[in-house]
Amino acid sequence: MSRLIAFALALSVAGPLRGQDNPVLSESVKALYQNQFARSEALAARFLKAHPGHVRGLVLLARAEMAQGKVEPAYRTLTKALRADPKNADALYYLGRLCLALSEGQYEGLYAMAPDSARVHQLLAESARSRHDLRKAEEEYQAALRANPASVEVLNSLGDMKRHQFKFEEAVSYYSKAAAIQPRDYDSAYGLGAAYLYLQNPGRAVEYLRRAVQIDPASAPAYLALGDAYLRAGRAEEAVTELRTAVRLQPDMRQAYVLLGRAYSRLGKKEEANKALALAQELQQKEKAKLVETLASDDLVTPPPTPAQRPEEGEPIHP
Amino acid sequence: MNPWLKEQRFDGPSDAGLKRRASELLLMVTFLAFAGKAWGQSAANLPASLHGRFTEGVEAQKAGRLEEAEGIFREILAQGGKVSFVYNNLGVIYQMRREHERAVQQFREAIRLQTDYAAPRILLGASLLALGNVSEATQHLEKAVRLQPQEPRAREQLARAYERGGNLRGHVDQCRALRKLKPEEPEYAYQLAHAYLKLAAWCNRELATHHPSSARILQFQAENYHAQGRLDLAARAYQRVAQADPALPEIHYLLALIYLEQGKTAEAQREVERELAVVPFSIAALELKKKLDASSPSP
Repeated sequence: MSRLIAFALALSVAGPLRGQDNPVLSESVKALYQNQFARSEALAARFLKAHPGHVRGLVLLARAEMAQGKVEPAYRTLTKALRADPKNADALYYLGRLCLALSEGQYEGLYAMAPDSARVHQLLAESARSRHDLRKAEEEYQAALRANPASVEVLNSLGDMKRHQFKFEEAVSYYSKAAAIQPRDYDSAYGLGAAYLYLQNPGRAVEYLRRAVQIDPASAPAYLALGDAYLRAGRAEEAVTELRTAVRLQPDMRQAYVLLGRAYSRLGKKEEANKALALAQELQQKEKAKLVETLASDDLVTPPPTPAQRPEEGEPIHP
Repeated sequence: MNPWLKEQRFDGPSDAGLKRRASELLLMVTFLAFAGKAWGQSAANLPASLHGRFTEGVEAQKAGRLEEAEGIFREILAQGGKVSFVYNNLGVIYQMRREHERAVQQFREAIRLQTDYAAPRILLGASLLALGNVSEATQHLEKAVRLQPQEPRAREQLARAYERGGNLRGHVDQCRALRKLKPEEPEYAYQLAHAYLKLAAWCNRELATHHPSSARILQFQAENYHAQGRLDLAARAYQRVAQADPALPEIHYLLALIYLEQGKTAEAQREVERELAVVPFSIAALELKKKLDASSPSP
């Protein structure tokens, strides 16, 4: 069994003891920590017969299943828990860990079938990226590229990584290769547009973002970026058109309203600008209300970030 | 509000295009197979006088002579051969040319004439995906999977529709079904592994969204460092978890393990004591304590 699977299964016994006030559940928890996994499972299952859909009981059952290597039943149990309570922190946490282990299991299967294929390296790269191990991710993406130099997916992934690291010139280089192989590829068109936006080249950004919206007319992020590019290019009227499409596609897109407000201001349309900014503010209030709701949750142990720590209002697109 | 789409809003479409590309590539190998199959399955519906012409159309289509094939299929329709698979094949030609709006019209007609015909539903789903109409594509693909649950191409497209629509659990389910259908296919192993990774990432994003300051978020970071063997960083991260939630079991135990690995026995002993204060009956912690006690010099 690989290191990651072993690690994830070992973690399956980790979890809060607080609130396990039901005697059967408490007994199940105790059994779990005493390595009596089958007994823990049986007790949790017994509890769930009387309380079907009880999320804490389901999570406990899944933990007992995971501890015994019963990954498939654990997956089903955790998805059931999330159906009952989609925001449950423990269910999300354990499902996340379990999925990483299951992915590792599939990787082993893939490795057995195609040991040095581009897909093997690609998967290792994706896995490293999910763990924020960017050095390893890049190494593996490069190995995948050596195995399949024409992989548009890998070229775009490298472009995305470089873009998120603010290395826009390198990002442009990878995206350009991808676009040359597959001119109708959305990712490279969007990536090039976003990278040129950050390279202060709105003209090139417009060119690629126009291509992106042609390829995927339903992409609100592409319209947002295109509106931003027009605004930076001093073409406020065109910016309004694209930003209005963005909010039509995604009505809760606060950034688009902020940019719309700016675009209308530049056009001297004060009333429209105020309206757009008011909508942005309304959306911000909703986001704040959601944060307050989250604060009431039992899972919180430290305060949320202060407004000063949050990204600046109206900041365009994260690279 | 779909959380995955929300994420996309800021990070850019790192995955949407991937599905789109894969979907288009798949079609290239799919449509000809369907063209042939359709003929075999439903030839009886076509007037006998048109059989030969239809075969010529399929041959032209297979050879990539699309204009010629289109002309033949249109001619068959005009001569009374209005059967579902002729519309289906005509749709395939438009799909090959990426004329998805026209393709959609043909597939819709094919479905109207024969509602239990899975092929045009799969192809319609693919064209609708290419046009960005994910929700309608999903409906048709779900129906196609119900009609032909053993047909991998239906599940492949449905998996992509779910992924694009942000239904990541549905995406995993379809990839699991594909893996079962063809266990020897490496691509399906990759797709399933990829789907699990995406679901794991989604879980973490949900945690960050709904429980932004919870110890679980910090714990995830600590575990990542631990799994990568970066013990100093892992120890610091676990300490932050313990500060955030001193009653969370296993954290002091994991810290003790790291300290033991680093040869810091005193720190390991301190952490295992803390663990036992949280979980007095933890076999793992008790065994570690025993081991540490045995290795420490007697007074």
